[in-house]
Amino acid sequence: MTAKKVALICLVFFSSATGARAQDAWDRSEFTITRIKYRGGGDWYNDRSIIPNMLRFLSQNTNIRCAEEERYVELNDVALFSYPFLFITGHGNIEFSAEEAEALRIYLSAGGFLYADDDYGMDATFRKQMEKVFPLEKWVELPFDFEIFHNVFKFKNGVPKIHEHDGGPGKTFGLFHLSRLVAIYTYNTNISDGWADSEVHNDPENIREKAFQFGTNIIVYALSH
Amino acid sequence: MNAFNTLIKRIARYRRRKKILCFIEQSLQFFCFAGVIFIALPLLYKIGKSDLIFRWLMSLSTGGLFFFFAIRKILQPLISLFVFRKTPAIDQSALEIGEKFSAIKDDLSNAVQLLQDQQNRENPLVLAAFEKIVRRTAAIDFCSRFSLKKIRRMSLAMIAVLFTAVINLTFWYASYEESVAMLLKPGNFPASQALGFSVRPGNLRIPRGESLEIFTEIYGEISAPPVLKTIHPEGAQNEEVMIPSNSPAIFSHKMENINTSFEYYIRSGRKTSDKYFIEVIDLPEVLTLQLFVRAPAYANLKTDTLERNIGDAAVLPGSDIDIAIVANKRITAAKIVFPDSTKKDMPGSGTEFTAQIKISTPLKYNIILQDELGLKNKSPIDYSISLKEDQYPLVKIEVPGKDVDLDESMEIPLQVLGEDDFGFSKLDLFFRILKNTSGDSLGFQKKNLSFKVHEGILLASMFWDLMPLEIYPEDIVEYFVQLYDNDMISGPKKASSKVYRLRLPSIKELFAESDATQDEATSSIEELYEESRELEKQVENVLQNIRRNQQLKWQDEQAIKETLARQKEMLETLDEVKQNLAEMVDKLDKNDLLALETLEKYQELQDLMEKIASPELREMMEKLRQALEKMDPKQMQNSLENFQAMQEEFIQNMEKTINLLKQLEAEQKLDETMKLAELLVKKQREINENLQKTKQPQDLQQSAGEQQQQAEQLETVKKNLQSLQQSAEALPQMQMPGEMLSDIQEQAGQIGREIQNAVEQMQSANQKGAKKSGRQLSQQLQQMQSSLSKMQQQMQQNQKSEVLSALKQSRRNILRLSKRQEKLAGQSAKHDPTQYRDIAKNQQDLLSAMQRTGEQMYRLSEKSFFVPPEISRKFGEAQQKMQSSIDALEKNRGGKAGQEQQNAMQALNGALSELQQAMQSLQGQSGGGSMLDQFLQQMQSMSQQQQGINQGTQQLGMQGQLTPSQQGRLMRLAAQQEALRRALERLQAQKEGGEMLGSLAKIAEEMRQAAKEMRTQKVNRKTIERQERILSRLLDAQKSVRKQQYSKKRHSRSGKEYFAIDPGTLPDLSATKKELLKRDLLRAMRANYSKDYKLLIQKYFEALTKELESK
Repeated sequence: MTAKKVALICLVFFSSATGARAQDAWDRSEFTITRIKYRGGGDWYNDRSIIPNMLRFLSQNTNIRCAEEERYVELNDVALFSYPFLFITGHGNIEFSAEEAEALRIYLSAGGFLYADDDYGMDATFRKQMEKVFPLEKWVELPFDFEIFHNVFKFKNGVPKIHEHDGGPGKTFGLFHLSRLVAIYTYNTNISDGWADSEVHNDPENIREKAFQFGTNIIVYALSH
Repeated sequence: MNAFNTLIKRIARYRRRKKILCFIEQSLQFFCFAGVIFIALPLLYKIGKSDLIFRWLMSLSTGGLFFFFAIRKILQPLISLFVFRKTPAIDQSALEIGEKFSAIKDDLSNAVQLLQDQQNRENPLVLAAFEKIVRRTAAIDFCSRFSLKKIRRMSLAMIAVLFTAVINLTFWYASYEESVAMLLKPGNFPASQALGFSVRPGNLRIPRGESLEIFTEIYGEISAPPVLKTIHPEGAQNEEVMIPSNSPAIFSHKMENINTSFEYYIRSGRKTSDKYFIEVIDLPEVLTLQLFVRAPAYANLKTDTLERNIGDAAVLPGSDIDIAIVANKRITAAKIVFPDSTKKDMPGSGTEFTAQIKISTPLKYNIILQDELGLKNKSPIDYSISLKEDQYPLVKIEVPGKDVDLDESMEIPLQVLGEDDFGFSKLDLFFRILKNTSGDSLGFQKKNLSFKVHEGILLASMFWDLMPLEIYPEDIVEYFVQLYDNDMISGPKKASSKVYRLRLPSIKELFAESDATQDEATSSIEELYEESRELEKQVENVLQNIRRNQQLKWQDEQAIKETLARQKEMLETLDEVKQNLAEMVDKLDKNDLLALETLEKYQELQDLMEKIASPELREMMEKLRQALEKMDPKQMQNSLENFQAMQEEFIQNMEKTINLLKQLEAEQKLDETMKLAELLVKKQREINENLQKTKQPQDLQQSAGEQQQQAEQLETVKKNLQSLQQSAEALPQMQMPGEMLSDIQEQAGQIGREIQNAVEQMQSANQKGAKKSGRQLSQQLQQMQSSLSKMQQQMQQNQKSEVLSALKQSRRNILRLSKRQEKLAGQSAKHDPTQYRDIAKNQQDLLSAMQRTGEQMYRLSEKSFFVPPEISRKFGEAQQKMQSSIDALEKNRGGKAGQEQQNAMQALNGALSELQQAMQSLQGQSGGGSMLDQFLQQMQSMSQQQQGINQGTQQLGMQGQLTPSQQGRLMRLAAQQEALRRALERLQAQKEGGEMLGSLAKIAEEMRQAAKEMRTQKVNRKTIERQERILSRLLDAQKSVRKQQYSKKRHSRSGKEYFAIDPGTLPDLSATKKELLKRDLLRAMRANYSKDYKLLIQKYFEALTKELESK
């Protein structure tokens, strides 16, 4: 069997195990985190354990009623507008079509929220795609007295550092549209990796705890603004 | 009477002849007039044939004139000739004749008048006169004087008119026919006419490719539809086209895109119109146009060749544009025409022309061409040249990018970023000092900064040394940068950064801040400790409930949830405290306000605090949470027990932290006191120097003020010493030498009194006394500083000795416990149930002994950082295993007991291992450790020696003329200095690599110089300064080495923790947007877009900016 055939079989299996997975119905009164299923080749689906873990933490530490499972949505799907909180992550290339960018702009302008977490490798491409969504708005690094750093859990030194990536402190950027924070982007830390099952990255428990806490801050902020 | 009648007849004949000639002349005039009218008829016809009113006017006026002239010129002379034959009267004619003949004059008239009277005919005299007249006129022919000249001339004119008329009639008969018809029947014209055509535009010259509409008006009965016939020179394109009708008599046909000349006429049946010719010509036009833009030199841009036929451009002011054209045909002149009608000739010949224009303002232009026929290009295109704005630069202080405090180094890293579209010319740093004391602000000073430019981005990085600015504590430095672009045409445009402030905090502030942070930290941890105790009780209650009820009740569940939440909050608070302490230590360290030992202890404290919130505790919390979810009482009990154990450890560590924190606080107070003492010494030296320079007694008042400030500073020292006294009593583990502390307090009291004495001397202008007192004070202060230093060293030595001794004791105890445990494990392994009771008893004894040792270790750990928390954990584990083995022995399970005893032994061995490491670490600290430690110790020793040499030299240096014994002492000091130099060189040889070598070499050189000056007894101010420098460098060298070590330790431990820089406040989003827009515009302008696209981009950005501003 040639390498190409193996790759093809792997691809078919992989796609059936990830992207093509059907979603069950969900109780809309429960909060859930919805992944953006984007095009471009990046691993939009990476690490299935992160969102259920985050939802569990959120459920246990706040009064927010949470679903157990994540959702995913393509930006040109009208169901987009059913979800209050979008999440995007990955290591690779992200591509929004003009229609998708338009849909995301409308969604965010209408009160939706996007949390993006760089899983090492999506920075350049993600920023470029977001320029399509809001050509006039720029990412602003959030100061440490911004609500997101202390609304539930306190982070005096900014975003917690979960994974080393490029070294140096992590950064939290916000995208303001008409003075409202519509998107948050954590860079050079990888908060969502800290939500993964402990055996995935073998992160110390205190590091994981910080990741969950920061995730909670983001979600609580998104739901209350 | 016959003669009379004859004469009358002759006169009558004259009259008749005259009338005939007049008639002839008038007739000729009439016919000439008629002929001219006739000739002009076709013209009048052409003018007025289509207009009824004109036709009527023509007809009536022509007819009227004709009749008028006919009557006037023909009829009237005829009537005069034939009807009024006797007019004028004979005498009138006679008079007329007399006027023509000078010989007759009026004689003839008189004679005729006389004889007309019958009575006179009888008068002889009248008759005689009459005969005389007759005789005189007999030979005269009265008609001889008539001139035929006019008649002949008119005849010739008439012939010419007649000839012309005949010719015209011959060639344009139809026109005459129609003209006459029009004149005769202007109302009915042309119905009554024969078929005729009126063709427009007739002959015409048109530019190639244009369209043409041919109109035909047809008069008369139309027998067949009109046809347009075109005849091309080549013949190939000849065609006949039926002309459609627009109205009953008007037909038109439009011809598109005419490219060749042709002849045409209209035909209807057999009748054809005249032939006309349409000539197609080429108007001059610009075939290609090309612009070459040369931007001003400062822009550093190459000549930009625009795309062909793009005449619009956006250029920088000062640009030169070459406009080159190629015409479609040979032209004689080309001009650039501007809206104000001014023109600029374009030199060139044939079809190619070029001109250059310089652009300073926006302008519009078009290009006019003229060919050899004098024809000009039609509708020249209007082009416009707009000015491309050279954007203002952007500048930003990236680092520090916020207001910051200065530290002891008086240096801040400064990083400036700038952007511009074409480049930069200058970057200036502006700064001014706002004095704290006077509140005055000096004007801004300027400092030029060097910079690099990379891909259009300016970057200036430097360490700004503020030392030369003589900034004093609490002064503020305001600063900003100003960036100029390189626009040399309109003048460099500048942009300024935000104004930031630097502040030099006073030591007092720093210490106060540090005290506050420490107090807060201690208080927070004490609160946490209390809360932990409460939680511990809560957990114990829940555990008892579960054990009692064997089920988990709702209240217990809530209590556990609350415990977990509070525990988590405590951990967060602990993190905050840790962070605050780290920041505080960092700040104090930067300002060199902490001894290295204190600094290291803080690091140990950080480690300890890290261990309080241990991963194991978090793991237990997580397990407890999971157990809570499952609601399994057994699992819950188990998890709670484990959690309780971790909680106990947490509490113990906190207790330990509190004690250590208090101890550290006291030690830091000692550091602070030493620092204040050092400042007092330094200041006193300055005061003494001023006293030496003082010549006027009144100048002493200023020194008195300074000395008074010294007194205030000393009060702080005294308070600190009191505080240290209290700490020494409250924290005996500090091992502070009480007697030394009391001595120092006494010294401080003496210094206080001496200061008062000095102040009084100065106030009373006793210069000599003041100087003496100043010297005394200087010595006393140096002594106090030295005593403080010795006390600190003694205290540290005491601490280490005590801890080391205790650790050794503990090591012996644990070793003994381990051996006993091994023995018991061996007994249990024999599986002899009869021995189990004894073994259990011995195990119980061992357990008690271990608990006592553990208690000792715990107490020791409260006193020292060198007892690692892992030992407690190992002890806990051993205790648990020993208890399990006892339980197993009670149940006669020897195998299990033996196993647990083995485990207990392993835990004890683990504790032993931890203890061993702690001891090694402590021994390394107290000397005899690594090479580095030895090096540091030697350096420290050298520093102390140098300090002694310095003090001795200073004392001798102030004596003026030295006594022989003093000279001898100085020589001894010189020898010491030389010996120290050699020692340093040996040390230098041992120590390898790094910047340290260079530093040590410099110190050795300074020592050599100092020794020489002392040997030659040339000790002066320079020598003392040199020695101070030597000491300072020796201390710096130690500090540098230790800091390297310290940094390495810190880095390896907290590799994943970084100190992040707060980006400050959120920017004004609208301002940011404008700035970003501008930045984007600059980038777009630099990008490789086409010119017209850049123009569009610029307009787009302008529109966006306006929109933003309007918002």
